[in-house]
Amino acid sequence: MIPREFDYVRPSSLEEVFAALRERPEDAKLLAGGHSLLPLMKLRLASPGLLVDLSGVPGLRGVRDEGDYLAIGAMTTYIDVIDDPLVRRHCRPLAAVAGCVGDPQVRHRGTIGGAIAHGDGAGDVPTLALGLETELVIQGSAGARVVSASDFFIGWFQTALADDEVLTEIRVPKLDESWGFDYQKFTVSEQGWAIVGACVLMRSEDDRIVDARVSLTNMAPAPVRARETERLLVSAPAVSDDMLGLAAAAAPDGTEPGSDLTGDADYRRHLAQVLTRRALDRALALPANRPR
Amino acid sequence: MSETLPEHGPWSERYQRREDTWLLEGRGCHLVNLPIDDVLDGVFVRSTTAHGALRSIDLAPALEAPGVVAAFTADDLRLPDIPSRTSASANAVNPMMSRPALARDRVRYVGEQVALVVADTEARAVDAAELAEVDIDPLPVVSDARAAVLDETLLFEEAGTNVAARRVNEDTGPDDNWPVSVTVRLTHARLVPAPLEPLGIIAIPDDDGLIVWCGHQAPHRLRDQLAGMLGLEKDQVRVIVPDVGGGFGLRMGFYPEYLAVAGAALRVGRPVRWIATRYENFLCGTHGRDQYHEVTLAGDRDGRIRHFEERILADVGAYPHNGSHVPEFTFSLGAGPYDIEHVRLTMTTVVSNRAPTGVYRGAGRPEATASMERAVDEFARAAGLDAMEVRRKNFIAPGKFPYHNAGGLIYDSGNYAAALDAALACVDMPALREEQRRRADGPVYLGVGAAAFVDRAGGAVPSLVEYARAEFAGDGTLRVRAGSSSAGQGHITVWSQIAADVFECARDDVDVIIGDTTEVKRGTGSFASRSGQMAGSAIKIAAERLYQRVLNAAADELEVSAADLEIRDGMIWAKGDPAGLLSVAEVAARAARRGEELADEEVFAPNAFTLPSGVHLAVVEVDAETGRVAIRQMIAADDCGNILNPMIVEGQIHGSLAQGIGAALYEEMVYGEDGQPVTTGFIDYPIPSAADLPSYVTTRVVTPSPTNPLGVKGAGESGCLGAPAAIGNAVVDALQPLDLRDVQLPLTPYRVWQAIQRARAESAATESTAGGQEAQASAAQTSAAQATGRER
Amino acid sequence: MKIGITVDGEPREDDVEPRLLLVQYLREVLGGGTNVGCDTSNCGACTVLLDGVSVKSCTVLAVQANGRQVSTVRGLATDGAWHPLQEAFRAEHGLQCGYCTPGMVMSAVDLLNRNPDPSEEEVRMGLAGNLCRCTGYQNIVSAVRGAAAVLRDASASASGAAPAASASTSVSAPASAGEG
Repeated sequence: MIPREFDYVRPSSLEEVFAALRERPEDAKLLAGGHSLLPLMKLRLASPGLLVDLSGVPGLRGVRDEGDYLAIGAMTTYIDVIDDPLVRRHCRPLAAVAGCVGDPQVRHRGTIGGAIAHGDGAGDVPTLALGLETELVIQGSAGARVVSASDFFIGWFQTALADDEVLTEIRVPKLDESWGFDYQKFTVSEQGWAIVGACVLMRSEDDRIVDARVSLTNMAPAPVRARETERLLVSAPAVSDDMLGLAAAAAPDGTEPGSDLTGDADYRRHLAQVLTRRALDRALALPANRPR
Repeated sequence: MSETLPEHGPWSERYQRREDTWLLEGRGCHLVNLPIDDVLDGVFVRSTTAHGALRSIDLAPALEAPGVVAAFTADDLRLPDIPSRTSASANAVNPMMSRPALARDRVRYVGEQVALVVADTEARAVDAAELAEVDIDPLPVVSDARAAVLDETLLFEEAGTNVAARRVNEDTGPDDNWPVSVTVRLTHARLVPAPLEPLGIIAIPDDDGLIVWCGHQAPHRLRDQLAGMLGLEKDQVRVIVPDVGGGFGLRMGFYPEYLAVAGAALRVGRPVRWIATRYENFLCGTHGRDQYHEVTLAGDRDGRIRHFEERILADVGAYPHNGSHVPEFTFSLGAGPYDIEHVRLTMTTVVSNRAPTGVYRGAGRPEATASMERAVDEFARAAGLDAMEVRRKNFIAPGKFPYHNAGGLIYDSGNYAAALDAALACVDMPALREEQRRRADGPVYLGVGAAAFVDRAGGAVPSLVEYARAEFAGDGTLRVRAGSSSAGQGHITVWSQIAADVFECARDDVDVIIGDTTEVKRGTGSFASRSGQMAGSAIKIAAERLYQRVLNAAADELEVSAADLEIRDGMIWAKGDPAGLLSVAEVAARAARRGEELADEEVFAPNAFTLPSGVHLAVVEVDAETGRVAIRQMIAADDCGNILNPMIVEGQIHGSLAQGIGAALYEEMVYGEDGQPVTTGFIDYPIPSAADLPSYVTTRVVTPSPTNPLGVKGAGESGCLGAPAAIGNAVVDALQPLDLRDVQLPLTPYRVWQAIQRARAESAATESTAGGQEAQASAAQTSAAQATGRER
Repeated sequence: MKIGITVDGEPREDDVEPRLLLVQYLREVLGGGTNVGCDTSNCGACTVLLDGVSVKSCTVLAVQANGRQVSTVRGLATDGAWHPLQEAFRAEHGLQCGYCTPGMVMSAVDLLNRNPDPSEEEVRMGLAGNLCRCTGYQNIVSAVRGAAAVLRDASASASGAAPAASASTSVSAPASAGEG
């Protein structure tokens, strides 16, 4: 319950953040909402010697309309994303997925950037980020770079972030009415982590699917796209029950689900198929920006 | 008679609780909030090995850490071992299975305490405890009861076996050649009581004795145990119970941590406080359940059950403790609410390298109920009859009370058919069955399951009495002292209500003292849903006697006949006269001047249990594609006898239903083959939130108990008995089209899905062979046998 | 580290270790008022309002609350008059042992700030971060909805009009999740 001792700084600029990280390499951790880091520290599973609190750095919160994308500051909390009028209008899936993370208290503190930087394959927001093909703005003392989501999530709690870099902005595309969306998160209890989650974003023209992003939660160390499912969806000449069935059945291809008390790999593969099918059906029926 | 409770608005102020006055302002005085001068914080060093020889403990690095005042091993404290308890009988102690306050040469479960570090703040004690070096040579792990009973590795070499106790009732008759016979095997998963407040204790040296603050359900027992083990006189130890954040049986134990902290406080000469973390609570707090049952029901084709056999194998964990009583409670329940001619019961308890078990809400009776009710459904299916009608046919009839069952229990009163009717009246069964048929192709199936049960509450053993004292202070304040211990049940409210009813005064003017072994001279405590019938009756009897004593004293003063007087609102009145004659305060003052106290005591010793009973009904939907079970309706028809405070009783039923549903769908305390606990927090052991639970429909049957003057029965545990059994039966009912008969609780999606896959594989296998029905029946038996192990 | 936090309206200055959790800080300065029931951020017994929104104070460092306002159940009554939630919890028997109650009530405050007319389902989901082992929640749900009705009526008569669809009642600082 009581973490080991540590030092704490709250810089007022990114430069000061980089300096602090450089001074204590391997021993410093960034503190955003704290709802991934502090629980680990309280159980003494992690004991960084220095916490660098990002909440004092200006310009890291809020949502901006940048034309064909929304720029979301990494320190924007889940609740601010859920309530944001720009998000609700242009990329409601982000509000929907943020709304199923944790519980209300967690959503008041946890941040979108923290969720993505943590790189948990069992987290919901990284899964959606992968499906939206978000672009992630990373800043370090060497400058800024933009990494796509598919290059960002590397492995188990492993991302493209170097130890002295900060994720500062998440760029999500604006979705028009041709997009449908659904996220099926299967948990044992309401507070629970996803045993498996299936996130579907699809764009249709007439009766054909022209773009399909199917990403899965907790089916691999990092969030993963069901590429074979996507291929089957967009290569089909028309939407049909059989086609959707085949596509959903292919969801586990290329995944590496683990085993634990809530399910073994077989069960997870099966759930991936079932949840993908349910998400496909709903995504076809529900435009992405419609309230659900 | 029965009634469905109406949708009520706010409860009458008569029932609303006095405790809420401070609890709702955040002024609950729970243990950790007590301001204790000069207090030191103690943190335990615990074994991370499930079974091993303890070679050495080096506390030197801990002693050098900042703020550390002392650090102790078993050799330092030199405390006597805690005697084991292998049975509820007073003399059932196995000296070869006793339990040290701090581990000496052996550790027997992950989390067993090996040293105690005491520092000036909790944080410093935690930091220092991490520095201790403990050297353990691992031994083979006895991971569960089935391994234990083989006696290949022994936890206690001197004992020569891992078996702690055995019991058999008298063989009561033939069990063969009945036309209908079914056998079910059930695993009753280990559970964790998990009240929101973890365990803790504060021991304060006081002259040569101790003042002990502890949230204990039986403070006088704790006082006696501590005094005895520390070599003190009973009146040198005072146990005080503050506000307590839930008990549920967790707080019945005499934990070695309590003894170690008390010993450390005496050694250091300063108050020492230990508050468990939640993680620690999972490791070292007593666990519940953990039994395997094999149950056979046999009887006639018309549904009459003639023979019941129950074989119980119970795991009491590393040290036999009050968990040993639990399978005996299972045993004592015999055939539950059913009148069965031939009953054979066998019980074996074993030790294993898991945390010790203790009583946990229901304590043995949920296990008995779940097994019997599963078997009754199977019996009905085998006989081709409706399970509700089989129950009705076999219930003990209302005319048969007092009823002596095969487990040695005497039932006071009950009307089980009325409870079944009351529960069924809450659903439209024909409509449900019709919907069930319509949905018989899935993928979401509908099912209905029932569980009829009796519970045992109170205490028939001669030592399980209860004490109360009613008195008038010199200023006329009416005061009640009682031996119960409240952990959220509202005792202050209900005890003052009982006394206020006798004296016709304002309830909130009655002073109630509980949970203090100095202020209350004796007591047994609160467990087994006993306090209403035991403490409540003692209070009523003492208060009524006091009423008469006051009247007599007033009659002497006024030189009238006591029969012409009554007491109301703190005054003596002549019956029918609107003018009050004399205040009770004045009567008390005059008595005091004579050197007399206006007081009466009662030790209530009914030597009889009450048997609450009921029928719970669950309507569930099972999504066969995912294994998810959703409860559409949870109905509880309960007979708690007369009701003292309907608001509090209903709250108890809700709370026990929530714990029962937790056990049905979410909860299992899991250990690996290596003895490592896997579920050590609320992430892996999810006690349900409001979002995980349905609302409940509660209804009531009332058969007063003849064993106490209030006519009340226990009301605290019924949901733990009825809900898991009803939900288990409902899921099996729902999945009949898949011929799935064996699913073990908790019914997590994964477990249900696995059971469905097994049933489908067996169906496919048997369809492709000749021999149809017979092969299917034997396949079902085989799957039942195979499915008794854990699904991992 | 020196920090300044306003607790239930009282400004305070204290010197704390960075590792001191906000829940521990509050319990030290108030002598209670919020509780610790777990160590994995599940139980919510530690829930307080931080700048007007509910947070689990066990997952916030005291230093992170520097310069901010914290509201606990101790500060809920006004001049001794109980808040409608406190009245409703008593009237509906929404507590037994009382250990989860400080956090449960503050979560309910936040819930009703956001949604003044919640359905049963919305109350249950809104309290998903608060565990109770005693009550089975049914009476808690009744209490929250009962208090919601009282607050809506009070709000309507205060504004002299029929209740507006989006009327909301704040208990303390405006519900901004702001930081930095």
